[in-house]
Amino acid sequence: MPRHIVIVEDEVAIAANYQEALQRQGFQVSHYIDRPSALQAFNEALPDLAIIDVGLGEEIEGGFDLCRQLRAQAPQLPIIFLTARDSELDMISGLRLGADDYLTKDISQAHMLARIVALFRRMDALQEPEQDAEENCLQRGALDINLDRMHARWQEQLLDLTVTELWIVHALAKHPGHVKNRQQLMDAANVVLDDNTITSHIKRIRKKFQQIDPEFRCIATAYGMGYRWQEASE
Amino acid sequence: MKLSRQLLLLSLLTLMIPWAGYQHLQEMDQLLRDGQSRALLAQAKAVATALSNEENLSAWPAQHPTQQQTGFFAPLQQGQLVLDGYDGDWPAWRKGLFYRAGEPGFHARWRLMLQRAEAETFANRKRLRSPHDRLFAFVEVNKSELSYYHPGKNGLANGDHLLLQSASQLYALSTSSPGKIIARYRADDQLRIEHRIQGWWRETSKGYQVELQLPMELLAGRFNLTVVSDQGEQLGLWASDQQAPRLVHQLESLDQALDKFRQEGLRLSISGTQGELLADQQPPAKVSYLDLPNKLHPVKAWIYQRLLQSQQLEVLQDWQRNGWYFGDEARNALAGRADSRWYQGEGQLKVRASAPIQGPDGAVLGTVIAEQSNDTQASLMNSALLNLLLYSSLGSFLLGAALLAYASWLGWRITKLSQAAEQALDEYGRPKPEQHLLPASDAKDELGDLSRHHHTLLRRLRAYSDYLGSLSSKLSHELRTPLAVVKTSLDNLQQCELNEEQNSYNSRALQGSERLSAILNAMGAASQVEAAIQSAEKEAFRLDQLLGDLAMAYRDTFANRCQVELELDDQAEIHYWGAPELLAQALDKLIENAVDFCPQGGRITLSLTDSPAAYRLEVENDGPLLPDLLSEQLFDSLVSVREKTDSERPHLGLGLRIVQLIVEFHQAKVHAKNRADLGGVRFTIMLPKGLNRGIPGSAGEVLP
Repeated sequence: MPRHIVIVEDEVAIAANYQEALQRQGFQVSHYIDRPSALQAFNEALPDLAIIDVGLGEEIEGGFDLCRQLRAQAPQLPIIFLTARDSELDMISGLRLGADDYLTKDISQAHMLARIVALFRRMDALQEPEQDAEENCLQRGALDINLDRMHARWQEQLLDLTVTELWIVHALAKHPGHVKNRQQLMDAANVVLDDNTITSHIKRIRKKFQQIDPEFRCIATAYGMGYRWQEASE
Repeated sequence: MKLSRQLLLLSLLTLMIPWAGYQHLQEMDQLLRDGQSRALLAQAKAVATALSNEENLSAWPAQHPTQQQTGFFAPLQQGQLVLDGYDGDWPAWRKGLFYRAGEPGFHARWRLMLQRAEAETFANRKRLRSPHDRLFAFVEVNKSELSYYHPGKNGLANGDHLLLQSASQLYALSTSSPGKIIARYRADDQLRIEHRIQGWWRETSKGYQVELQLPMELLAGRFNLTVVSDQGEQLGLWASDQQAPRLVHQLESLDQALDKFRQEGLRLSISGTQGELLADQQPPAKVSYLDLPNKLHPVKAWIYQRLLQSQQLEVLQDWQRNGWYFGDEARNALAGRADSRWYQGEGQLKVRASAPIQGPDGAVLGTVIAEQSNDTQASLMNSALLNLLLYSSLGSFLLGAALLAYASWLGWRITKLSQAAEQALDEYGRPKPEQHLLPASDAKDELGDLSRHHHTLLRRLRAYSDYLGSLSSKLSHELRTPLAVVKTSLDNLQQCELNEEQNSYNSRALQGSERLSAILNAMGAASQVEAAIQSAEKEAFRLDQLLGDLAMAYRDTFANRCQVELELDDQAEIHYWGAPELLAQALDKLIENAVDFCPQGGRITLSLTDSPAAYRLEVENDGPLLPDLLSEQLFDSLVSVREKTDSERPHLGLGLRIVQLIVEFHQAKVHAKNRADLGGVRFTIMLPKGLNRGIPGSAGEVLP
């Protein structure tokens, strides 16, 4: 049975384009134009993934409200925010509401698909028992990344990383000591972002690590060039 | 020139009021004086006419010489003379006031004085009338060799001697040695000595001098003096072998005649044809302003005197001192024309009027001189004028002060307005937020209007500048949705089966939309930086190391474009408290900017210097200069001074705006200037040290 993706988007042309692209990939896609209709649909049946526009018609932050309600209904459901806005504040509030990723609308379809696939993989992994080391894993000191399951651990504790963040951490940790510039990180994270967004992503990633380990220092800034993974000295 | 100074100058014009008052006052004064002098002249004429009638002519001295019959004049001596052969108690030898005769080598000069008997008896406190009016004479003779009277020789006199002629006698005055002289005369073919003629003979360095004294009655109205040398040479004005000329002196009979015309404040005198004082009333008691019933305030009196008596008038001749008077008006009167003249003296103005006294044959016998000071009439008349002058001066002073105060107030308002207008802009030339804007004045006048207009203007400018600041992010936001439509559509189109031609169009469209996307990202960058700043946290880091890292990175990145060099002040570690990511970003923008302007192979210098108050971060590049006008707006949103077009990357003038945002976050200053050598441009960021609370960290590690 094809996975069911819901797009809540007031811009019909965009929604139709996404719908067609996703359907081409074999997903079942429904489109709702505003919050009430989407909510009604969610009440009847939950989708496997929701792509929600922040601004919904008259409701400027309707997407956030919808996300909150949907998250209450289904804590595990992957939610992607899609927005024309690129304000960092929006991004932070979106992610705080429990969205799994936050993308601007000009993201290419390939990147979007990669993300959706990754999210589904992560969701599947939650339901499957842990398997052996055949999986695509990377270990650097206290860091443990499982790309198949789309999760990472630091000092044995699960890091709450978005897909984008996970890909960034993976790109850095793959070659410790090598400086990854912003373009490389964007490519790895399947996203086109401006420099500031990369910076704030890195900042958020550091914070997430520091929640587990206040002494975390492994992501170092190479000013003017990018970032590098630096092995803990001990 | 400042406004207050201009108005002060203008207020000086009000000084015209007292000036006009002064002019008026002077004219009035002149008029009054003219009137007074005319009145006085009329009075003098009346006296002169009265004196020249028959009765008075009888009192007129028969012995008085007419102009044709002149003689010696003996002025009245006021003080007491001591007969001692010295002239220390005599008035000074003044030109015209003595007689002289002779030639170089042997010449003489002499003076005469009449001493009334009264004057002598004053000393004894007796007001007895002595019959002895006495004549004093003082003779100075310049002669190299002196010879004295030789008793062995015969004759009235021998050696150097003087001859004194009275109406009936000739006296020879001689001495056998310096000291008392002896007067000899011949009577009945005998030599006799006249003891009433007394005198002292003194030798001087130039010759000798003799002081003489003799009773007037001895002379009987005539007098002549001749100086005779031992060789028999004679020095004199009249020949000694003829009848002696008349001796002219002040006459009591004339004084009495004048007494009839005595009047308060008026002094009458009579002068002879040579200017000799023949009769005089005692000078009128000086009437001071202060004694007048309507007293002038001393200050007013002083001002009045200063203002009105500063005119250049001839100083009044004190003719009682020497007994001669040569005033112009008296000279005119002697020529037959009555005249008057103003003089100044003793702190007041005096007018003298002179009218000729004519004998029955029309010959001028002398003049009547009337003298009056102007204070009696002037003080009362002028006090009103003086008040006018004072009040108008006061008025104009007050007016000037008021104008000055008004000017200062006006100037203060304008200065305040201009200061407010100046302060309404921040250092980058943008209007400050509303609360710092120029306050709208509620004054109703034009300045209030100006202030309100300014206020409105600045508010609009502020709104416009805010609008510009947010324009790019708004635009980027608004454009993103339609762009997304285009992009997703193109993505979908790519999935369709396209022939080669369609494919190429599609890929071109995709490229275009990618670029559009990049532009939109750049446009939103400033607002993203603002957001980043809001969430930024400061930390301690090593500024020098940051710069080192950045310089290395730039060197690699732009290796094929230009040379990037780093200049650090010294090797010391510089710790700073700030947001290194943001600072790096600001430097990125500055370097990008520098690279864009730098010619191929040019030099870009990154430097950090330590100055007392701040760290000076500079980015210099070779290349075209900044236009002067734009150097302040350079950091504004959407301002670009770029001339060349770079099709690869959008340039919206947002980079420097980002630099500015970051710099402001660090409470630092940024400015752009052309390099002194005019070969390029220098951007300077001044990072203040006061905020540097950094803990010295190690090796550039980010500290918590």
